[in-house]
Amino acid sequence: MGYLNTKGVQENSYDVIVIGSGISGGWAAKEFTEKGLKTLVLERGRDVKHLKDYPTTNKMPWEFEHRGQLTRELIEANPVVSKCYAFREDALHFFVKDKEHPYIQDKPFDWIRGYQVGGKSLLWARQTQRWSEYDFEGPARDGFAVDWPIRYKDLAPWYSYVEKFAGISGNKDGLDILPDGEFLPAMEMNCVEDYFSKKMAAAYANRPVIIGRAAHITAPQPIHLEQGRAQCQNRNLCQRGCPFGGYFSSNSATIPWAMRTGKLTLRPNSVVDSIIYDEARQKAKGVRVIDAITKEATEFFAPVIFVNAAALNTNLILLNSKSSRFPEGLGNENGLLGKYVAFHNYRARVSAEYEGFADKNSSGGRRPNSGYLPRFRNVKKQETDFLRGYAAGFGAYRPNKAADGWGEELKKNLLNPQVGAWQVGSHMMGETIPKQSNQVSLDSGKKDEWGIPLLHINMEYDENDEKMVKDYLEQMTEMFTIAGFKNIETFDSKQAPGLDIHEMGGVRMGLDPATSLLNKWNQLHACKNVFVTDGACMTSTATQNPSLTYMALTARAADYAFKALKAGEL
Amino acid sequence: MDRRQVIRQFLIIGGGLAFMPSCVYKEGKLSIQLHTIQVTPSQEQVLKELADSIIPPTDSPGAAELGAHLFALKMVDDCMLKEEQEAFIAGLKQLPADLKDPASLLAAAEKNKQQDLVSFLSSFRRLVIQGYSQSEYVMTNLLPYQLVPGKYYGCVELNSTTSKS
Repeated sequence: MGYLNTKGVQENSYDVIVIGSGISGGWAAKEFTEKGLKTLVLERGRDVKHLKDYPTTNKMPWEFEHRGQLTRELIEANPVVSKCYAFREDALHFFVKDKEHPYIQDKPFDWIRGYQVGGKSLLWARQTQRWSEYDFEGPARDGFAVDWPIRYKDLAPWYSYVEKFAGISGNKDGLDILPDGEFLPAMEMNCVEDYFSKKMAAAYANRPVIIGRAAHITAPQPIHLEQGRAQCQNRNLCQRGCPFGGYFSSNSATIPWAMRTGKLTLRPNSVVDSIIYDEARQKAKGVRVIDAITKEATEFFAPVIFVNAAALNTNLILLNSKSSRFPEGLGNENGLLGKYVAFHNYRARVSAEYEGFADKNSSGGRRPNSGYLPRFRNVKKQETDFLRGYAAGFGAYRPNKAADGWGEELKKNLLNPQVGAWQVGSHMMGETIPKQSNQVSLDSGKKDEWGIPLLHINMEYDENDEKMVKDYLEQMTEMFTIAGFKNIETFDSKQAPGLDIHEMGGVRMGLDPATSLLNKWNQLHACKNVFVTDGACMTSTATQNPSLTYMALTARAADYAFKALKAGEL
Repeated sequence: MDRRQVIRQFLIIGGGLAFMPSCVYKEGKLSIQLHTIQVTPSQEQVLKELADSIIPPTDSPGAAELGAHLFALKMVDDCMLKEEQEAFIAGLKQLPADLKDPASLLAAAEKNKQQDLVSFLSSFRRLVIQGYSQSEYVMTNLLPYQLVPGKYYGCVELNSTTSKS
């Protein structure tokens, strides 16, 4: 262990400290630096500079030794992260390897992490659907978790605010379950997706199949050009980092934007051990950092601290921030810190073939997006024997037939590929119900090499999730049957929680300090100058991919924190 | 590094350069370095010929010239599970000395229930196809891969589609 670096407090003081540089930390950095605050962003991983640090981005397929495939050695050494769809030969370097950062699975949980500047914003699936009023009112209506302290109207202007900067493509579909946003032109559906959408519109009152709203620049606006970002070129190699800045990431957008203000200090390799509580002044005064390489400890100080370390690591930092006032973790007066964590149920999918549109295909680019079916179960009232519901992805494509034969015949077939029948597929994105028994906690003895306790993860599916899987498989089979799809096959991967990479909660928002950790401005009820605006703040999960909501919550909380700071309230 | 080992390597390299005609030298050594599976230079030669009988040279190069047999070996070595590797090597050893066309070889192996040989032939065919199709030559000259494809067209007439790889 290192010694405490006793540099002057003055030298290590900032207006704001942001812990984490992923999708929400990047937004905090942008907002505060634009407002003129001297901002320190602490990132536990290495620096990844836009363009410069995307080593594989322009590689051709044949330049990968195994053409993208993982080696046996890599899979054996990484039983967890190798399950992630994006952990392939071209993006290995952006993922945490299993042995680098151990954690304790009380129950199976595949924890997928990206420790670097930009975090998982380099790797995300870029689906950006707004929450609706039906999602925010869910816990109160259905009697689980606690009531959200905000409603759709509180977040709507902030959704608009972040969408304009990030660049979100989509159609104004006019759905109250999935409110419209500030959209760039939508990506196109292909023939079979469009056909399915029309069929479902005719067959059901409330099952609209739309093109996914995605954080890709389909028509750059001045604000995007100003960021140095250009139009998405449909490479569909996003996980390598995009040379066009075609999709939104901290690396391509918020971090360089914040850097240009001259107000940002970005400090990679800075592992946050804990937040320091000032017992006399009854607020947090700074952050204790361990250098990832030298293991030297340093303290940084600021009147406002934003915690954006990614959902479970934010829980870890707060649990590890112990003081006489908060012996069980910062702000944890009610003992609920780390509890009521939840995720999305991604277990089930359905596939089939379609014989129609034999004379049609898609062409040109490799569209990095697919169709989307918003939640249709239990939207306006309780209709099923399970709570809440699921959204679903839907996509169609036409793969080439496998080349037959041997010798010259095979060669001729390979060089003149024939398209096969259309293939269609769907996957579920189920809301899970946060429960006290789903929780994370610190190990009392085992520590990592930076002296930080290992995290226990204790999460599992419940009966509600099982019923939802069954219902999704039945409903999607019915919908595929109505559409005339053939060879319908259903799958339940039974995958452990975690692989959805949508872990949320543990530091939930709420109205009552007795049953929640954060107030409606994402401030810790019991320590008002500490804000949590990443996935840890989520009271419930809804069905939407959550990143857009983290961005909007962050921008909103930063605006509030800035005003409160200026008013001398923090 | 161990001093004796350095001297030994020096002698081997020096000796090779001094005394061995180039073709004999190649005979004694594999073209790629393998870590887990054992393949002899003569087996490599057999695989090279087999690769060309799967995808022969015509007015454009065949699989062997594009190194598809070496790609196949690399994939077997690095990516295949142990059991699959064992079946592959066992099947390779069962290849008859006079290599006839692989289609009738596979048919015969299936008829005679030679599991390892069947497994070897189908894996090798699959990997040779991959190595050939995803070679720089094919992806540049014959079915060009577009790194930056640009506009996506959702629904077009089939005969107007560009080839996609």
